[in-house]
Amino acid sequence: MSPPNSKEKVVKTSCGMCYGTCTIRARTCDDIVVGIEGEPDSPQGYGNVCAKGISSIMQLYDPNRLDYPLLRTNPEKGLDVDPEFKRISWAEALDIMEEKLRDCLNRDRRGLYCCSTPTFPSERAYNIICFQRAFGTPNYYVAGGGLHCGNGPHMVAGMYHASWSVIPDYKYCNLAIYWGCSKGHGAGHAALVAMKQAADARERGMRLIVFDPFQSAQASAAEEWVPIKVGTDAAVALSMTNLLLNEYKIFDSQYLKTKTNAPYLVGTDGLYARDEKTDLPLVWDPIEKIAIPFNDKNLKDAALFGDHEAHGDKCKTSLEILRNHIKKYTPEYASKISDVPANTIRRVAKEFGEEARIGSTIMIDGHELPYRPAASIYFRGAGGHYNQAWQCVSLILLNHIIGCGDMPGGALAFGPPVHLGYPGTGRLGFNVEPDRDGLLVAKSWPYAHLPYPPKDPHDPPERLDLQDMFYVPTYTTIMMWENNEELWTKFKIPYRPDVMLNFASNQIMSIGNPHEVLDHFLKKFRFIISFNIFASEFEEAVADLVLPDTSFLERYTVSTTFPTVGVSCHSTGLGDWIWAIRQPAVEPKPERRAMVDVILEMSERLGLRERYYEALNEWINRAYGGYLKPENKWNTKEPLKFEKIMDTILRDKFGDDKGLEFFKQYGYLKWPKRVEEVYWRAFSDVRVPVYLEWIIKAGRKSRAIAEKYGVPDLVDWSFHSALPDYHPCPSYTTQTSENSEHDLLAFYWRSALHTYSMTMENPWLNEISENDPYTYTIQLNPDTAKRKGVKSGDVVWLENTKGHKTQGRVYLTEGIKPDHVGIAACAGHWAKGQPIAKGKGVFFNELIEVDKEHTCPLSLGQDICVAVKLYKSEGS
Amino acid sequence: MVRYGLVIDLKRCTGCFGCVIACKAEHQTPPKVFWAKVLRSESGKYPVVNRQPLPVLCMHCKEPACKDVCPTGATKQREDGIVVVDNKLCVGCRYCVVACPYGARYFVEKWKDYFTGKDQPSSKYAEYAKKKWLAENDRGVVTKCNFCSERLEKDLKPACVEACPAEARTFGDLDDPESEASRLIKKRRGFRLKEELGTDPCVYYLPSR
Amino acid sequence: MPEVQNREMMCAPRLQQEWGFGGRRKIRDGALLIALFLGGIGAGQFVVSTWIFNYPLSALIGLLFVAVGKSAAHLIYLGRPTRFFRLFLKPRTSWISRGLIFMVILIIFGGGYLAPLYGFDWLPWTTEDLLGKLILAVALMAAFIVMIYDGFVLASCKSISSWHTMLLPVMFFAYAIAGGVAMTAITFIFDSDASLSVESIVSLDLVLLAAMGALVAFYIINLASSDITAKESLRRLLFSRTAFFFIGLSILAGLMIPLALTAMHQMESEGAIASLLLGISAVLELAGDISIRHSILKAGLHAPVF
Repeated sequence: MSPPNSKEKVVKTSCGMCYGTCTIRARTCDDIVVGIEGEPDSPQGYGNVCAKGISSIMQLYDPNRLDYPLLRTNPEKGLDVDPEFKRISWAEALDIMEEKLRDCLNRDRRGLYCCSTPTFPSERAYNIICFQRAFGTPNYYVAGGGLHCGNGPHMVAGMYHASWSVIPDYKYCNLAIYWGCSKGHGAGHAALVAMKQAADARERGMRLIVFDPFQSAQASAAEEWVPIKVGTDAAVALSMTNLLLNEYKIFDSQYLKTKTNAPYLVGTDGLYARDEKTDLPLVWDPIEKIAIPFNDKNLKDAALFGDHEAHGDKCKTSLEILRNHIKKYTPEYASKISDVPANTIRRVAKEFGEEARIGSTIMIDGHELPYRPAASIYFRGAGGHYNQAWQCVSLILLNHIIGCGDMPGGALAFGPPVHLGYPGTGRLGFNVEPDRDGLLVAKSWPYAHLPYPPKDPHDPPERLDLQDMFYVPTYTTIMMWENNEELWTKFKIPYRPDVMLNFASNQIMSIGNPHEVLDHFLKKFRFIISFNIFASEFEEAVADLVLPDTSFLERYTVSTTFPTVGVSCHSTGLGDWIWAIRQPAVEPKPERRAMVDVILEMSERLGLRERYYEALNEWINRAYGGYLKPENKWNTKEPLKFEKIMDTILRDKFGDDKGLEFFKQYGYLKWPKRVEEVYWRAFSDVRVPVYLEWIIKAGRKSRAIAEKYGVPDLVDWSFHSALPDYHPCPSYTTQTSENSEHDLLAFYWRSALHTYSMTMENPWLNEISENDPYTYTIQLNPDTAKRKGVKSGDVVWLENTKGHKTQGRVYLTEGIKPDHVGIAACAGHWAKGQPIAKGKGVFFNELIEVDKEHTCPLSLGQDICVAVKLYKSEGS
Repeated sequence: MVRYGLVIDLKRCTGCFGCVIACKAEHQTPPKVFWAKVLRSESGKYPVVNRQPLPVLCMHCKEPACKDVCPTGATKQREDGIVVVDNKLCVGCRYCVVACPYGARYFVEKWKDYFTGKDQPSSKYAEYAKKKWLAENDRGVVTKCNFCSERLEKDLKPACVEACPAEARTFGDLDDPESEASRLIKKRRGFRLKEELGTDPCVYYLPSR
Repeated sequence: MPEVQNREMMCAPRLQQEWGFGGRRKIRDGALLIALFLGGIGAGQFVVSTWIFNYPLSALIGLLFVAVGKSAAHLIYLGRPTRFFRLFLKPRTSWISRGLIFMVILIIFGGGYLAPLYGFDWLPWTTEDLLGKLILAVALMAAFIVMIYDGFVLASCKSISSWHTMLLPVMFFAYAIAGGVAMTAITFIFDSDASLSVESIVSLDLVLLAAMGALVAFYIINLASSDITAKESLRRLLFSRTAFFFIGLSILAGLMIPLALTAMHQMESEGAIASLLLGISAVLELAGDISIRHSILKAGLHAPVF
C-alpha cells in the first residue's frame, strides 16, 4: 500500500544479490525502491524471488555505503591499521587514478593486476576483462568465490560438458547423487530456476542421495544422507565405477563407443596409438580385427575392452586400462578411506546403474533419445581439496559410464553450451565441436583457459600466478605463496606487482589466511584502486583509492544470462532461453558512479579507446557467439559510452527493433529451447575421455619449463597422469596421527542466505542469520562436544597446525560427522565500514593456508579442509 | 463463504527463508519481529538424522486461542477466516501473545530503524517503512500475519506465497473442495500443527516423506 | 532437540517473554508481575482484615494496594495505557476482563464498605448494619475473584504446559490469602493502636504455610509427570537461575523459614521478640509470594510447535 498521490513505477531488471540473476521487478514509489518481486513470465526465476533478492532494498539503502571517493592518508597498510581515509572529489580521484595507471603503463603494463568479484559476471566483463585486455596486462583473477570453486569443478565440467558445472535434468531424472553441492537447494547457480525445478522433481518422485559430512539443506531434503569424510568422494565414486564396470557389468556400451574415447588404443608408453598416416587415435575393429582410426568410415565396430596390437605395440583400450586401474577401489577399501559403509557403496552403485535404464529411449518432440534418468552431480564440496581435479573426474565419469551425459534424465551441462541461434535473427548461436582427436571442445568459453585442447604453455610464464605455464588451472594462488619472489626471479619474470584495480572483491577475507595474503601479496603493490559499495576489510587494510560504485539496482549491464557458460547463470533443461539486462531502478546518489562509466572514461584518458573497442570485439565473439555484423562495427572515432555499447550489442544480436530501448521497457527477451540444444550430446559427434591421455603430455611440458628454470619441484608432477585416483588431503594425516591435538576436520558449507562475504552487512539477512542456529555458528556433533567438554553455545577456538585460529560459538547437531566441524562461510567481518556484519559469525578462511601443501598439483585449486584443534575460549 | 487457508509442502521446501524476507518487505516489520518464520527442527541420532525446515506463520485458526483471551476485542476473525488485530482497539496486554501456541504474535513497542536501532529513519526507504508500519500497525500493540489481506483485496496472493522459490506454498479456499489447496490436503494427507489443542488451524503441511 | 529456543528460527520449547521481569521490555514488563502480586496480597489483606479479623485500617491498606498499586502497575505495563478501559470489554471470554472488572467492584464496594469509618459518616450504612454487610459481601466476592483470576489467566494458556493446570488458581489464591495475612501482621506491628489476637494470626499462618507447601509440592510432582516442555519448565525452576527465586526465596525463605519462625513463635509469644519474629516471617512470606509468581512466569515455556 502506498500513500495517495505517490508516483509509482515498475522496473524490470536482473537481480544482483548472487550470480543467479533472476529477473525481477523493482517497484518504486516516489523514486524509492519499495519492493522487489519476481517477474512472473521470466524463465530466469519463474517469477519467484529469494531472501537475498528481496533484501537488496536494504543493501541499496544502507547508510554505511560509500558516498564519495576516499583517499588513504595513512601509508601503513595492515589488518588493524586505520586507513585514515580522506574525502576527495571525483575530479581529484580520476586524476590520481590516471596518474597511477599511466605510471604503470610506462613502467610495465603487466604490473597492473585486475581483480574482480565473481558475483557480477556481466559487469566484470566490461569493468575488468575488457579493460585488462585494453591495458595489456595478463594478470587477472577473481577472488575467493571463483578461486575456491574455480579449478577442479570448472576444469572438469569444461572437459566433459563444455560447461561450468553439471546439473540433473530435473524434468526426467529419477535418481540424483549429490557430492557436496547444493544445486536446487541453496545459493548460486541459477538458484531459483534450479530451486523450482528440483522441487518439482522431488514432488514427482526423483530420489536424491547426498554424500556430505554435514546434513545440509539438500541432504535434509534428500531421501538419503550418506555422511562421508570430507574430500574423500573420489574413493567412493571410483569404487562405484569399479563395481559398475567389473562386478555388475552395468555400462552403456553404445555411449562409451561413440561418445567417449573408451575404445581408443593406448600404447605401452601411456599415449594413444596413432595412425601413421593421419596421426589419428586408433581403435580396434573386432570384426575386421584391425586397428583403424576412430573416425574411419570403414570402421564396423570398436572394441571397448581387451589387449590389441597396433604397430607391433601391445596396446589396451582406454576403458580396459581404466577398468584395471580402478580394481583396487573395492568397496571395502573405499569404505576405509571415506567411512561410508561398503554395503552402502554397493547398494548406491547398483541403484545408480539400474536406474540409468541403459538401452531405454524416450520420445521428446519427435526425437527418440536415450533415456538415462540418473545423474552424479558435484560442485564446490568435491572441489575444495588437494585432489580436486581427479576427484571431479571420478565423480563425473560415473555419468559417462552409464551414458547419461546430456541425455534426457541425466547430467546436463550447466549452463547450456549449445544454442543454435535466436530465431528472429539467427544470431547468438554457438555450438560444441570435436578436435582432431574427436574430443569435445567448448566453443563459447568466455575465459582464457579453454578446458581442452591444451594450449602450449608460456615459456617462461608471463603471469605472476604462473597460470600460463600450466594447462589446466583456471586461477592459481601461486602469486600469494610465501616464496613468490623467489619463483618470479627464477622464472625471469621482469616485473612485479604494481597497481591493482579491484572490482568489489574482498581479497582479505575471501582467499585464505588474511595475514599471509596481505604480507605475501597485497602489501607488494604500490597502489591499489578499489571500486565497491562499502569499505570492506580489503579497502580498510590496503586500498589507496576507494571509489563508490553503484549498487546493481542503480546501474546498467548488457546481459546477465549470456554467456551461458561461465558464472552467468542460464537455466538448464527444457524451457526457454532468456537474454536479460540490468538497468537502474533508481538514480544513484550524485557521487556514486557505475564502475563501467569510470573505466570507459579512464580508457579514453589513457588513450586506450581503440584497444578497448578491440577487447570488446573479442569478448562479444567469445561470449555472445560471434563478432558484430560489419554494419554494427564500432566507430573508433566515437568516445566509449556504455549505453551506446549496450545498444549496439543488443541490436546486433536481436535486430534493430530490439535495441536498448526495447530492453529497457521489457527487461528481457525469451524464446523456446530446442531439443537439439538441451540434449545436444545426442546430436553432436563429440567424445569425452575415460582416459585423459593429453594430461600426461601437458604435464611433461609444464614440468620441462619448471625444470629449465630451476624449480623442478614446483608441484607434485605425478598428478599429471591419465587416470583418476584418490589422493588424501594433507589434513587427514594430521588429523589421524597418534595423539594429534588437531583431531577434527573443519570444512565450510554455503548458506542459501548469503553470497560469499557480501551479504552479512544486510540487516535483514543478518537478522535471520543470527536467529538461525546454523548460519553464524560452529556445528559440532554432540558426542564430539562431550569428548571435548564443550556445550552448545560455548565460545571455542579452532586452530590449525600453523597456529592460525578462528573463534565462534558452538551449535550441537546430530547432522554432522562426529570428527568434523562445519562452518557456514564466509562471515566474521571486522571492518568499520560494515557495522552490521562486524563481529557476526565465524571467519573460516583464517584457517586456510595459501601454499604449495594446500594446492591441488593438477588444477592448482585451493585445499580448504583443515585439521583443527578445538578448545574453549577463555572466559566463555 | 470463502475460508482462506495455506498449504505448505515440506517436500518442496528447502528452508531458504524466502518467505521470511518476503513478509518483512511486504509489511515492513521492524527488527526482531517475524510474522513468518522458518523453524529448524532436528530429530534422530547420527547417522540417522532428520533435519526439517518448518515454515510457520499465523495459523488463522478456526478456533483461535488468541481471540477468546483478548480482553478488548481487538483480535477478530473475519468472515473469510482471517484472524486480524484491530490496532485501534489493542491495548498491548499481550494475553494473546502468550495464549497463541504457534508463536505467531509480536508485541511491538515502537518502530526501530534496522541500521541504527533508533526511532529516527536512516534512509528514505526507512522513512517509507516507518510511515507504513505506523499507519498499518502503530506502536504499543500486538501485530501478526494478516494473510496479506491488503494483497488479497487486489487479487494478489500473499507475499510469502508469491516469493517462495520452491513454490512450496499454495493459498486457497479450504471450504471449496475443488480448490488446489483442498485437493493437495486430501491427496498428500495434509496435517496441521498442534491439532490436539483444538485450535483448528487453517495452515496445512504436506509431509516431506 | 535443544532445551529451549534461544533463537527465533528454532523448533524447541519457547520461553514466554511477555509477562514478568526480563521479558521483551526487560524492566517494564516486570510491572505485570508487580500488578499480580499487589492485586493478590492487597485483595488478600482486605479479606483477612474484614472477614477474619475486624481490622479496618489494614483492610484499607489492602484496598489501596489494589486500587493504586495494582492499577498503576497495569498502566505502566500496557502498550497503550490510554486505552486501558478497553480491558473491561470481554468478560464473557477473557479472564483479564473478568479479573479487572471484579477489581473495580472490589475497589468500589470495599471502599464503600470502609468509607463510613473514614469521614464519610453521612453514608446511609455502617460497617455493622445489614446494608454494610451486604456491601462487604459483594466486596469479598470480588476480592475472591481478584485473588484467583490471575491463576486462571495463566491456566487458560493451553500451549504452556507448566501453566495449564487448575493447581495455579488454587496456588495463587492460597498465596494471596497468605500474603494478606502477612500484610495484616505487618500493619499490626506498626500500628500501636491495634488489638489483634497474635495467636490467631500465627495459627492461620501455620495452616496457610502448610497448605502452600503442599500445593508447591503438588505442582512440582505435576510438572515432573507431565510432557517434556513441563519437565523443562521444572528443570528451569530447580536448576537454572530461576531456582534462586523458586527454591531460594519461595521455598526456603518463603516457606521453610517462616514455618520455623512460626514454630519458635509458639514458644516465645511475648513482647518485642514475638513481634520481630512475626515481622520477619511476614516479610519473608511476601518475598516468597512475589518470587513464586516470578518463577512461574519465568519458567513458562510454550511447547514446540512440531
